[in-house]
Amino acid sequence: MEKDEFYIGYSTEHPVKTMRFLKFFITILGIVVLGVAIIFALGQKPFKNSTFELGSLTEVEGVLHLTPYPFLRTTLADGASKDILLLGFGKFGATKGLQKIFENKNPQGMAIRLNGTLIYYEGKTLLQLESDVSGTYTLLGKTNTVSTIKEMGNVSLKGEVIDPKCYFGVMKPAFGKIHRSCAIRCISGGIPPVYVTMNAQNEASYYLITDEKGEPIHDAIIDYVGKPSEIQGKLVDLGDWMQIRLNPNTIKLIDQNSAIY
Amino acid sequence: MGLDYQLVLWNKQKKRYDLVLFLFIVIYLLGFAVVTFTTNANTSLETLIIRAFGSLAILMLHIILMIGPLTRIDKRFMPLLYNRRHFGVLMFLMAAVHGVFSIIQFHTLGNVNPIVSIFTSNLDYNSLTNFPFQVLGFLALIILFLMAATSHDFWLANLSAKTWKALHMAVYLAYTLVILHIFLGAFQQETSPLLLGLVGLGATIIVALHIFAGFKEVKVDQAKVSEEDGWHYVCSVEDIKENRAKMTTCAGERVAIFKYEGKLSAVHNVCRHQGGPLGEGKIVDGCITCPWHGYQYLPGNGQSPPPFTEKVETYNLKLVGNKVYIDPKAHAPGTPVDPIKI
Ligand code: HEM
Ligand code: FES
Repeated sequence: MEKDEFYIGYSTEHPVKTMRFLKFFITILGIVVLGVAIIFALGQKPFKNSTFELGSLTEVEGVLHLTPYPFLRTTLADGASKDILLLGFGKFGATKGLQKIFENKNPQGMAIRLNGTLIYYEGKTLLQLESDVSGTYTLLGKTNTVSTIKEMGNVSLKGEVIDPKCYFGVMKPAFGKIHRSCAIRCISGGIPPVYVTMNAQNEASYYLITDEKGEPIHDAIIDYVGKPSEIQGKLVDLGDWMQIRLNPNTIKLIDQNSAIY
Repeated sequence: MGLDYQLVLWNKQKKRYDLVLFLFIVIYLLGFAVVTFTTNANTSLETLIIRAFGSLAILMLHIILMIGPLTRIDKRFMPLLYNRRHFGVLMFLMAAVHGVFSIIQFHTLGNVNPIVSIFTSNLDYNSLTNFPFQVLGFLALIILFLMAATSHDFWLANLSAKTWKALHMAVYLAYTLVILHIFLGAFQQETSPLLLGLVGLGATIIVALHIFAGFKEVKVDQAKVSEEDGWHYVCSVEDIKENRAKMTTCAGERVAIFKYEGKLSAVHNVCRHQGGPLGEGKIVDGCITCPWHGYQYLPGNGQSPPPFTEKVETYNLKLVGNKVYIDPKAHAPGTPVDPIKI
């Protein structure tokens, strides 16, 4: 007669056939576990080579500009100028940090040497200020700034509103559905909203979004963050960055997946 | 066995179980990291952690949910059930790493409380494609936490078996929330057919196994009972294997009828520990032994041998020729009933 095997967990006797069967099953399961890990890993879309130099501070020198959003105009070795967008620590804009440095004085046109964390991707550079700015800067004196703004007329664009801090380096992926909550936090915390478009050759263009008068907007654009949309507005060339001036109520959402992969 | 929620203790078997679990976790995380770094090296460390632990948690949840029906289909899977609680707690820990990292990454250092932010940053609750999927993951994690926190037998003893069982059935709610969390979340953007196919296959296997195992039990419940003066016909003596039971249903309750040492006894099928099916147990050393964690009951009175205090209901049987009949009225738990001689 066949042995009637019965497993009792606390017993030291173990039914031989059951254990043999389980050894086989667990081996197969181990292979499945590895297989699932490989499939999940391979299934991920390619990540961008954007960079956030977490943990390493860089000193940059330039002239502060406040509009439309705070940036530092620096001069490169070849004489060209580069505008570095300034951001606060965490999910905040640079305003608080600048207020702390300048108190009631106007920082516009102030030459400054500033320590912060670099974020960069596709030729755009951003700098995160430290959470405590004291001791991270040297003021170098006031300069006269010349406006380089060129109005380029009306345009309509198709793309997505993103938060540039995460998009240009801090997080991956930093657009679309997965990242929407975070982008909403960042933009409502004062980080400038940026519009990304993608042409047929998969080349991206970036635009700082402001209202029609060129003033910063944050909360008014929250409903459109991380969703494909169509916008119309006035294009302005700021020098290193483009700006789009629009009325947020005229943004049209498009019912499709994020196109900036 | 009631004095002693500690009775299901550490032993060699459990250590081996935990070792295998630990090994699987390491294999998974290493496999995920190595493949990601070699094929998609621009990942960020945070995303790697969030994705590796999230996908590991859902894999573990699938295996956990498969163990139940597998043991009902083939008894040889029984040892996998024995230490399933460690499996469950580890799965919760993996999900917690994923959830906590997601909260830190996406919601901290902002202008509102991170937990409030989960619920209020994305407000598209009326849209499927834009749905705030993190809320679903958060609710699932809360359920998994409650289950992990109450998994110890201490809670089983203090919450009553029914409440505990109900709480632990919530794993199916958690599973549904997680599946929605993935399909309304990451998979709206990470649209690789590999991922959708894999999780789709997993969910299909879970549902199919449960339906298949369910059919086997429904057959017992719906088997025709013919009555004779209030006695229900069960089966003939030869249908019961020595030291084993035949299950039947009386007044909506499952009952196990054991054959041993030339005698027959009937007890309520539900183990007082965690509701294990006594009818799938065996008589060991003269005691009905639960197949799940080995709690024991004397067939003659439904009581656990001293010093334990568990009791199950007993039933009267009668034998007409070689036909076994049962009186569907249960005696109070622990009532002695003379076994009938074959
Ligand atoms: C506080 C709770 C949770 C939060 C905030 C959360 C957040 C997220 C986020 C943001 C993603 C997208 C990540 C990406 O693809 O880059 C995601 C994906 C995912 N989540 Fe969760 N989640 C939570 C709970 C859970 C739980 C409890 C499970 C499973 C047991 C789970 C399983 C998954 C899986 C399998 C994915 C898809 C793979 C991946 O991208 O990681 N999540 N979750
Ligand atoms: S011994 Fe745990 S359910 Fe019976």
